[in-house]
Amino acid sequence: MMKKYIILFIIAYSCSYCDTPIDLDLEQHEPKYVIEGLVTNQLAQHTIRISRTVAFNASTPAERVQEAVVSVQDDQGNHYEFVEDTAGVYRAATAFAGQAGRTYTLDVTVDGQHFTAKERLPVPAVIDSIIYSINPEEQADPEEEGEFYEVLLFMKEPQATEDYYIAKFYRNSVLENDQGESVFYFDDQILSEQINGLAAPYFYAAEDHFRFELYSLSQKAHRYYFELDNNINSDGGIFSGTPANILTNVEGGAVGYFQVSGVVAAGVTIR
Amino acid sequence: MKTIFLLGILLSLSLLLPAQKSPAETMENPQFTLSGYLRNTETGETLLYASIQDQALGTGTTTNLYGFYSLTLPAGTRHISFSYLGFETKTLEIQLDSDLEMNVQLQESSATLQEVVVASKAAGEAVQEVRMSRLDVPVEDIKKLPSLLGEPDVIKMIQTLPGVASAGEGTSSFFVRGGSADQNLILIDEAPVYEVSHFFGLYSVFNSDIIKSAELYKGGIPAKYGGRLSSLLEVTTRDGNNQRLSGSGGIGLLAAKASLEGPLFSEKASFIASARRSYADLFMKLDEDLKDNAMQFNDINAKINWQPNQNNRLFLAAYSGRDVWKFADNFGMDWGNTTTTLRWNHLYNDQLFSNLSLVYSNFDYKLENSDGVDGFEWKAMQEEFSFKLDNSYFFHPNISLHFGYQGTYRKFAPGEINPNDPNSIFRSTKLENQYALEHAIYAGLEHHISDRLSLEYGLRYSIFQQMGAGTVYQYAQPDDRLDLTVIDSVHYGRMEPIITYSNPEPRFSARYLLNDQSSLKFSYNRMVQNIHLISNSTVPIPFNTWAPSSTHLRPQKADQWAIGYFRNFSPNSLEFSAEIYYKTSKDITEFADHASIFFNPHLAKEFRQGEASSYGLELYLRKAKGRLRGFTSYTWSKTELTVPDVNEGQSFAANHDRRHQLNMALTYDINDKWNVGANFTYATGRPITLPTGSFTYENYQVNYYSGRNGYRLPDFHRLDISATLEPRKNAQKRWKNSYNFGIYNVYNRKNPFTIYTRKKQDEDGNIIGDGNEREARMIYLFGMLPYVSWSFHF
Repeated sequence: MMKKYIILFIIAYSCSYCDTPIDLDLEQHEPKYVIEGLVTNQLAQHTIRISRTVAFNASTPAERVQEAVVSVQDDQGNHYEFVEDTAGVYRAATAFAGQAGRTYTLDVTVDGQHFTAKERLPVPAVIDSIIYSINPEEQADPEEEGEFYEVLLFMKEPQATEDYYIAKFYRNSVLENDQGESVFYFDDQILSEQINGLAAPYFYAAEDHFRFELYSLSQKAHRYYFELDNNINSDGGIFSGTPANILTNVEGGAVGYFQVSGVVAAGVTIR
Repeated sequence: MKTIFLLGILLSLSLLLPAQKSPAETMENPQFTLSGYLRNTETGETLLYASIQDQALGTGTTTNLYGFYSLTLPAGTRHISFSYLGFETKTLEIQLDSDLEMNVQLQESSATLQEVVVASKAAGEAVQEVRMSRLDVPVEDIKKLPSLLGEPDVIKMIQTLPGVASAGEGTSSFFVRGGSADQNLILIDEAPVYEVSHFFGLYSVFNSDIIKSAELYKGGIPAKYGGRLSSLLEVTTRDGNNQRLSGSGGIGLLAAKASLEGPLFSEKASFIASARRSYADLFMKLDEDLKDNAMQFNDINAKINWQPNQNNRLFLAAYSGRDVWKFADNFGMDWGNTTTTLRWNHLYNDQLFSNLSLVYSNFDYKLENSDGVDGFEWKAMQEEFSFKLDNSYFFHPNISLHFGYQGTYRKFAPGEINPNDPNSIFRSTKLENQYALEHAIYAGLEHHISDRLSLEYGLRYSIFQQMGAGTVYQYAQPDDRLDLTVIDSVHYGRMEPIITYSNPEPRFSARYLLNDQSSLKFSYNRMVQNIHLISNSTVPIPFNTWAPSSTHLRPQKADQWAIGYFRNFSPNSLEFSAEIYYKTSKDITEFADHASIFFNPHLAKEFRQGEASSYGLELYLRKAKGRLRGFTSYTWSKTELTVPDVNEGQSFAANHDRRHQLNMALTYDINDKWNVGANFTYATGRPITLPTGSFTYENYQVNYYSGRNGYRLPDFHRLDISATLEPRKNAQKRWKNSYNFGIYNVYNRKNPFTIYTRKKQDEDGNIIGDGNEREARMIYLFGMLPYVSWSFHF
């Protein structure tokens, strides 16, 4: 959060600051497999996506990887087969719900290479309630026409445990994160037990359906999102740290993350 | 223990040797000591590092940091010249038949007189003095040289000296001989300043109106100084005019300042006080959209100087400066330094000079959000108290001894967060304070072996202790920052030592005069640093704190060797030097990739300690006198780091590694009315890490990198020009005005500040296509910027 402010400020001050495109003469890129997996405590056909990294200057979309053998297994010996649904997207053959405290292991075999990732399902959080109200300042001068309802979240943060979370916000079933610029991850190090009236980061219009999902994360997954946020919002290493690759829990030489979360959700339609 | 023994020998040597003076006196040709202070006639300011020379013998000395000199010479009629840059040289005939105290006042030379001075100037100090790798910043000329927005800045000048690199324009950090920004000890009147930037580095905290001298030591550092690996910047403020009340001030495009100085009750005491403040926020108040925002910085310096008699001199100096930022969305932040120095110089006799200082320094910052539910206040600070006793004993015509003790107590409060609203979602949380004690004893000798060979050598012995109260955790996997398993924890009580690090720091410098005009020099020094900046960026931001050496953090150490050739071209008073250095550092602190450094109770797990090596060639040509003054410097250097868990353990170029740097700063007095100045700077672009690929995770586009600092920004170069007008009618008036005009970046070069990447967007900021395409963007800061500033003095 802070580094964005800093960049903003220095730029705000130096009136003659400028931002122009530049062509980079980059070395050859060696593609790597990317694994993006999510298993939750919801009863669902969970999804694993497999793709490849692309050269920075490439204008083609990420290449999807087909014909992989994908499965997930828990520490109780339950085995779940995944089948390719659309290109590069693998879905559990049968719906299942993850259980808090169990460890899930992902196995992927593709083109003779084997990747594996292991993650424990943390206890889900509890959402007490959500309410919405008009924000008078925003109503006076809305950024987007008609969007001046503020949604307030009420939750309890268990103080006895160290907890990590990522939040997702949906407007009419569409995920909102500033087109892939914002990551709403947090931990409880400085949070008090009572979270009363925490405002969602976006404003809503009448008839909008608001939905909020809160995923509990492992410490490592929280770190993954912290690094992802650093990576996508780096200023190139002037005031932020030198940009670098982000961690992964996938073993075998791939990048990405196999996330296993307890999830709670709440929604409301603004009227 | 061997080193304590050595130090003991050095110290006992100092007790034994005085007895040897009497044999000298009984010799056929007895010797006597000439000592005293050198001062500016008009203001009474002491002159530091001024030179005193016996014309017949060619031997001489310089005044110390306090303006005091002591020179032992054969009895008889002696012709002694006293000279100082920008002042008329005074040659006095002295009948030396007993120890003599002689305070000399020098007259500032006016432009028209300077050429006379040049002709009579003897070989310059740079060739004669033993020390190398030491530069004095031309403080007076800074005001005539071009500056950013008309605010002259000593740190910006330092960034152009040989062996010094910057991270780019608009930044106030500097990098000396490959060292990082936190390896510079920056002192104002002996007090360390931890954060030198205003406005995130646009300006430094040093108000040029109050600076008397600024000396940068890059190597060959005397035993008296220690605590940082790379450099020492010693900024001394003026004492205040003890002859009459006078003042100065001015307004640039950014800030306004004023200072007042004068005698206090009698000419035995003087005061100076100075204030500076940026004023852009005053205009923001007039703008409807901006009126709830505030951003300003301010500085206050004050000093009282008292010399009750010839043998005692005291001063009390204080500095306080702050940046205050407030944003309409209830977010605010501020940071600042406060320092205080009480110093007592005492002359026991004409041979023993002692200096006692009590020093306090504090840095703190605060971040605040006063927005109800999200409301919090985040504070962090650190402070230190020092006691220093430094002695100079001029006990033999050819040997002087410097010895002393320095003790420092430090407190680090790395952070505390408190809710500032009853509805806040935050709870009060505090990171554990840390404490440290540091002692150093040192002894150093300046030793004239022969007419040609002079040495300066000594030893500093530093003892660092991390103190309680505190808890030390033993981690199961110290280098795995995700595994926080603690296998043992030990609690230490208040002022109980947790861990002690003792380090000998040998220092050695030699000068061999080839002839009157040239010399060869060599130096070696070891430096130890026991406080570590918690920052992983190229330019430290003002929200960084420091951590002491501890169970998990070893002291940083550096060894540096340098050789140099110094040459004067007397008729033109040109000084030339060439130096080659090699520096190797151990246990330098870095952070693992993506270190989490803000409010992290397990910070010990983010630190990584590695090695650095740096070498380079520095050429420096300076013309200090005459109508045309200035310098040209060229530096070739290379700096590499090897740190575990950074760049997969492979060595990489330091963030501030610049292969070539060329700087020129010149001013020319056209006549008594007009002066013109120009700066030119060129530097190889700094290393940068660029992505070679990217991947998609959810709808995030994540960069993929193949290595750290594998690319470079385009080269940096820029020309600035200035003109200073001092109206002729000033001569008859007490109130004197001067005007400075200039253009920064004359040919409007777009110098890259940084390169960042984002999803490809069109002109209006809409993402092109499905958001899979990436683009690189370059930020540059200052195009061509004209400025004007007005200043006055009376």
